[in-house]
Amino acid sequence: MSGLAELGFWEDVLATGLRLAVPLGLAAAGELVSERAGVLNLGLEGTMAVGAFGGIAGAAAAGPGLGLVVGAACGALAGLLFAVLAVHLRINEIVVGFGLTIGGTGLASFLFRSRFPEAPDFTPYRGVRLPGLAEVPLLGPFLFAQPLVVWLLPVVAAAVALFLRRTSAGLALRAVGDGPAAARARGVRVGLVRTAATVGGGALAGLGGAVLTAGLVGEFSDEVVGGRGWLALALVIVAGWRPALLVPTALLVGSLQAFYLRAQSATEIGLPVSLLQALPFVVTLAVLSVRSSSVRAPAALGRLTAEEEA
Amino acid sequence: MTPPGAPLLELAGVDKAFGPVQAVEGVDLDVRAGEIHALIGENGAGKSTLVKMIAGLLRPDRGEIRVDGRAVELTSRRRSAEAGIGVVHQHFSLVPSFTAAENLMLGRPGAGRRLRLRAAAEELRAWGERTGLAVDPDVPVGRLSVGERQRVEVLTALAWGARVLLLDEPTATLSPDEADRLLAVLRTLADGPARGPAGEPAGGPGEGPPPTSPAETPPLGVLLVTHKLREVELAADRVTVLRAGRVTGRHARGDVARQRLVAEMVGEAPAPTPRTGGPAGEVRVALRDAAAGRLRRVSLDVRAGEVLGVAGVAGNGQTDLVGLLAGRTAPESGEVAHPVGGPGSVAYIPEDRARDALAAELPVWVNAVATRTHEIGSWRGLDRDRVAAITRRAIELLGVRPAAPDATAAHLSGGNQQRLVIGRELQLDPGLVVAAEPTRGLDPASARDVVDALGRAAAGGAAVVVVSSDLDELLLIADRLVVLFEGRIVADLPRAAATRDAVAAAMVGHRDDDGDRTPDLPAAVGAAP
Amino acid sequence: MTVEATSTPRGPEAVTPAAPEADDGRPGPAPESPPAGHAAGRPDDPHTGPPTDPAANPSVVRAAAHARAALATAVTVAVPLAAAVGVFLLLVAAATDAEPVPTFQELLSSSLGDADAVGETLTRAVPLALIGVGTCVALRAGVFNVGGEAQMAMGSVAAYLAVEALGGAPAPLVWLGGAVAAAAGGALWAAGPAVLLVRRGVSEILTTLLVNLATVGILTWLLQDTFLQDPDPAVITAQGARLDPRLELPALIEGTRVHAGVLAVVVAVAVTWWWTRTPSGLRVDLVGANPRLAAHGGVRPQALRIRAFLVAAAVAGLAGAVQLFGVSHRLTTGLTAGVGYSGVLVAVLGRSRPLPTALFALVFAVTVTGAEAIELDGVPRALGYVLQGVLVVGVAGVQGALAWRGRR
Repeated sequence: MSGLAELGFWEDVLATGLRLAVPLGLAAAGELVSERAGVLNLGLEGTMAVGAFGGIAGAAAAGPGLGLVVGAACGALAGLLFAVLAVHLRINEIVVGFGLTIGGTGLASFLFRSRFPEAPDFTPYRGVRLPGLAEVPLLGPFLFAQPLVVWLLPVVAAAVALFLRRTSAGLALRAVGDGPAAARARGVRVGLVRTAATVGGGALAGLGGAVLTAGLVGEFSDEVVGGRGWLALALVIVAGWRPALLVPTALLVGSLQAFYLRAQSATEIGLPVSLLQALPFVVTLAVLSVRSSSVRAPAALGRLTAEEEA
Repeated sequence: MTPPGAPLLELAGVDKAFGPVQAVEGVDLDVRAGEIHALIGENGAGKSTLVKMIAGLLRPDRGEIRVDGRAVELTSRRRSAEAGIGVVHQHFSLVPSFTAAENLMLGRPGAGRRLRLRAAAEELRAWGERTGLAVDPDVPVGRLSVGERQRVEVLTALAWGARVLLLDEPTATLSPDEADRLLAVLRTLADGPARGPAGEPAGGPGEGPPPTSPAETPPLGVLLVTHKLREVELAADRVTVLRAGRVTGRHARGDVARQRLVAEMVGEAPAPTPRTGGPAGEVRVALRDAAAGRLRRVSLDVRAGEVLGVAGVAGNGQTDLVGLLAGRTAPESGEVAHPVGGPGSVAYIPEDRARDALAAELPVWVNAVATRTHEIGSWRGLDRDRVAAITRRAIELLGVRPAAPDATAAHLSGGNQQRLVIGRELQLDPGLVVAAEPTRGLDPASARDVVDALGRAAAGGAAVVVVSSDLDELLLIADRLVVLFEGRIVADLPRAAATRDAVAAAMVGHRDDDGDRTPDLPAAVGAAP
Repeated sequence: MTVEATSTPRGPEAVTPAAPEADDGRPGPAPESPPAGHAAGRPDDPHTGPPTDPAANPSVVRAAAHARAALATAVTVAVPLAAAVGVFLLLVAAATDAEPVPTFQELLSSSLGDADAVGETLTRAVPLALIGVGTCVALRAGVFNVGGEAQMAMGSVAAYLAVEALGGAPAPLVWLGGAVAAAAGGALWAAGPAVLLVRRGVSEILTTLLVNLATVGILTWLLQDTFLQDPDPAVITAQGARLDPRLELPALIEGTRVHAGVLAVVVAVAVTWWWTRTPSGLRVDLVGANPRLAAHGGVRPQALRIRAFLVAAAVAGLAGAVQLFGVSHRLTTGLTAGVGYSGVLVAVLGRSRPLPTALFALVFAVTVTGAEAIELDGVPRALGYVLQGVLVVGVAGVQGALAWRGRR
């Protein structure tokens, strides 16, 4: 137990912040992929919940590694469902997104409660301390004593960035989000690309949920996702649809969440702790309001229903 | 290798129907290496259906498409590209946020997994040098001019290995000058090594050099789809005329008179007769040094009873002028006065009717009363008789079919949606009509109806402004023509002085040398009867 | 990522061409419809489309449209309900030890089986229907206000402040003051997102959701660390003091929990229904369907959207007051209980029409009440949310399929 004046408190906040940034950033990376293809998937919260359950189920069977795989697979399925409904049947994407959120959240809770009356028993990833480096103040606990799974975030962000910039498939994906009519005229199969992007994005969001439960927390609760999906949606805008900016923005919001969590157990911090719970959301809202006018969304985003058919 | 003169692309007995409408029927057409083959016809003649079939976007119901004498199934855009057909579309084939290099690689057959943009940029530069169509490969094409974007399209088609270049209305958005330049480039592309540099000028002043290494560019076949006779006369080696989905004429260069082509294009349908305008009355809208967007210090009066045509290459301030005249936007400086009635009595027919003037998901009757919601009832409810009367007039003015007020507007065909919008606007007995591209996208019969309706509105005492990119339409309907160039009015011509040449010259910024008509012009208007 | 009105909000409506006036809550022109009759009198007019087109006969068109609309409505309701029941049976069979069919019967009987059950369901439907009806107004203007949860919570706080301020005034006066304060509080809580939407184009979906999430912390703080906290020292959870019993809304039906708040729903549905058939309602429809067209008709779309947004938020705030006076009788963090989210969904299901929205609120209330009861049989109540998700996607899906058929 420590106060605001102590280094240990801030070391803790930063270190926890990075861990909390991972699920958030992964989900945001997934959403970024589908939005760059012009698909606004508002079902992110539900997708993460499904992934979180998949993570627990997989981890209970064969450890957190399988949990991550199952979580990603569940997320991909949710993405596929979204794509079939919104991209192919052209049902309003906002409605489908909310349906997926409420249904996915409910399904995850329902399945967990009915399949796991006893809390599943497995060990999530533990911090790996690099001898020497881990002792460095502030940076040590932040970077050199983390569970290895946190490095998924920068790796995935870099992979997404490279994919979008340096591959033909990435070019097609961006084209579908920025100029679907042109892409179609060039022979790009718009529906297919969007489906693939939504499935891939769903897998990343599911992975984010699984990292949360199977990788870091080790348990599931109804509140485990707790609005992270909606935060991730906002982060995509704050990052201006650029994968490289996802890491710092996720880190900022993760740290704010960590600040609240640590402040709860800290003594004498002199701040109304419950109000701190609102901090990540308020800050995100503020940054979103400032940033949203200086970033450019993919031109076709949010127009699935209105778009002309080929 | 195809010997020179052999057909590269052939269409044999091609049919295509959409529901009950036979869009294309029994069309034969061939394009040979080394020639420019023009395909002409009015809007709705079936040209774009043919284009889509050749591009692999539509499949014929019957008939065959052959490349190098072999029948091919063009099931997709990609197949068509692989068969050596390069398509330069009228719209929509470049992603504006992408650079030319990125656009080159988008959907390119056999591009590989890795995206090699630097190589693509080099390739574009090389092709640019060969053809004289230089573009900057690393700038988002959205920032390029219309003409430059078209170059990107042509270069892309060439780099993809096109042997037949299909251009769909390529000059629609170009200035007459740019259009001539493009035709010259097409000539050299078609000629290739066989004939060497062409006789026509290969580019205007300041243009890149003509192809330096023609040996590297084998002769292409060019299929030029257009509705402009002038281009046919200037550039085509052969011409095929299409009317109502059938071929109505085939001619070689120079063996046919313009009147004959016109007759083959329009058939027996009565050509609309030029209006005989009455005397202009009071001023219905006046601009004084008004500026907005691209429009710079424009002064203009439009009077009751006259049809004012606004000509100009797209993007020279037309949109802003329409906004000001219709009272939709406020001027950034200067004044706009609507002396009679105010903006409320303005009929406004925007360019993109479906986007700006129609609520497709709402019933027809709601669309019909959409601009008059303040006069059809109170908080107690709607005045149903009035709603019914307004709806009836809007539907009947141009004959919307089906005349079902309760169906959603999305049920109507595109043409009928336009009729509904125009009917709604004109049934107001407006003091001022502002119409942007009023016949675009309409079949010839509807277009004639709309032109007639605008004429009737003027005869009924309205001031009518028609902004159109179709110069021939303007010459037909307008009592007076102004030309916009770079946001200014550079010519204001009464009907008698508005010859095609005079207007075309003004469209690229040539002012009249006579000196007795100044471009900015309340005075000149005052002088006109 | 502004989600523009043209593309989104009334999606379900947008994709349902087979539903003309009969079921969309809009009055047609006079029934005898002179436009149609007159037009039919000139069938060989040269302008007409193909003369053989049977659709040119307006009375046929009209009858066919009515039949199609009725059929479409039936299908739109029946298919998703069947799908929800199917998913229910499947999930119960696959994931729990309970018997599917009896469990479903239990769900129905515990929510609709007797007066008590119906009372419980109605009570739960009240805030849902209120928020849903308010949301209809916003949706019609093309605004997707999903901040009902926070607006409702702040409405209840504002109502409580009014109670404090009005002291010993007669109960009806306190109720009235509370309702007005709650509406103002709800609207105030939407002002930020509304301004951001029209001034900066920030998606109202995201801003209202973020406000919801932030409000959870703010409400906890208010009920834990401020004067609103329950003065009883034994209470450690975040909650406010109990209302004076005389301020509790009276039961409408003796012996049940059904309180006078039901009347608020009836009034809200009636007023909104009436409003949709006035020029003002038409203008909001136009703003939602095509703001440019509305502007051409002399309407200021942004002003109208703000107004619709705030009306929806005010009604959500009102729902908070009704819940405070009628059910919880004190401020709690759980007063809203997700109603703010489900309320939006019922409006979507009801395609922005007040009466169907209220009916779907009842259906949702059944899933919630019933799901609580079956939890005793070992079936987690979260299944109720799954059913809601299936209903939402199902209804939208059927509408999408009908529209797809219509396009062909």
